[in-house]
Amino acid sequence: MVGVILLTHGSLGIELLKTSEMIIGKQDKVDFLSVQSGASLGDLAGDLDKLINKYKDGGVLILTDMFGGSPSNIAMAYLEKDKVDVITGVNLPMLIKTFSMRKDIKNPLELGRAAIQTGKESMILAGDLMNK
Amino acid sequence: MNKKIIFRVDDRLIHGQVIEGWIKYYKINDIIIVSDRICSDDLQKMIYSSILPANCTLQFYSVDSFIANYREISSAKDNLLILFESVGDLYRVREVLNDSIFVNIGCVASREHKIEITDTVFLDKEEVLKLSELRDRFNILIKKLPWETAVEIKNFINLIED
Repeated sequence: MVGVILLTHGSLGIELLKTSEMIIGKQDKVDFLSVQSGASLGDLAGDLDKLINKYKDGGVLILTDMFGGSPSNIAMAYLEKDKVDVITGVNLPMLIKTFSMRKDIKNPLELGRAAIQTGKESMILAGDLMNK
Repeated sequence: MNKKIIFRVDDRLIHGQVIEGWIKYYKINDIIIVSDRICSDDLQKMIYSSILPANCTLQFYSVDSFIANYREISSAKDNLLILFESVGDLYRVREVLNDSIFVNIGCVASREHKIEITDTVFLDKEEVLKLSELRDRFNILIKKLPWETAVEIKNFINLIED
């Protein structure tokens, strides 16, 4: 099964994880890492290294919060590795989809595509719905 | 408005604070990364190039080539944001500094034996000495975002006198 790493600014990752588990229950093979103000990115890259290695058999999908932010910059440095992919702009529906699709989709790239599609479709402006 | 040249020390280089803060606030189109490490790492170059806001250009220089080419670099007509990974690298280019350059210390990560200056800036003794020397001659502000109030560094040297 593809591992999931939530790599975000502050406590967004752990809170997203807790919230998704509130909805679909406890998940296996998931970790989170947080980029705090003043933290050394070198230390964080070391922690990320270990986690990626832990999931090397089934591969890993790293979900980060913002393209161009330091969490996603760090994660993108691992794209050259086998069976590692990175999503930016994580949201709750996307994370839940990722967890629920892991049984069927064994490849991080394919899993990432399915997750992103759900993430995009989950964003709706309610005012537009009303005016239809 | 006069052209602004901003030198920023930020060990995360281009990231949220830089993209949402400095680049937008000063309408920066041209960004330069001065780092020996990044210059020799094609993957890092690709990552930083890929996250640039639309219409921005990015160039990479080693510290020595930056000094050698500074006259040409600084003759660009628009505002410039020049990023350094460390206070040490900024200090290495001190010969190109002048009064019109705005120096910003933004993010320097915490490590052992570091003195906490702000929530994003942690300096060791040597870095404090280097900045104190530069501060006597140039305009140096410690802040992570352009609209924040800078941290006072007038009595900066007292930090290491204990």
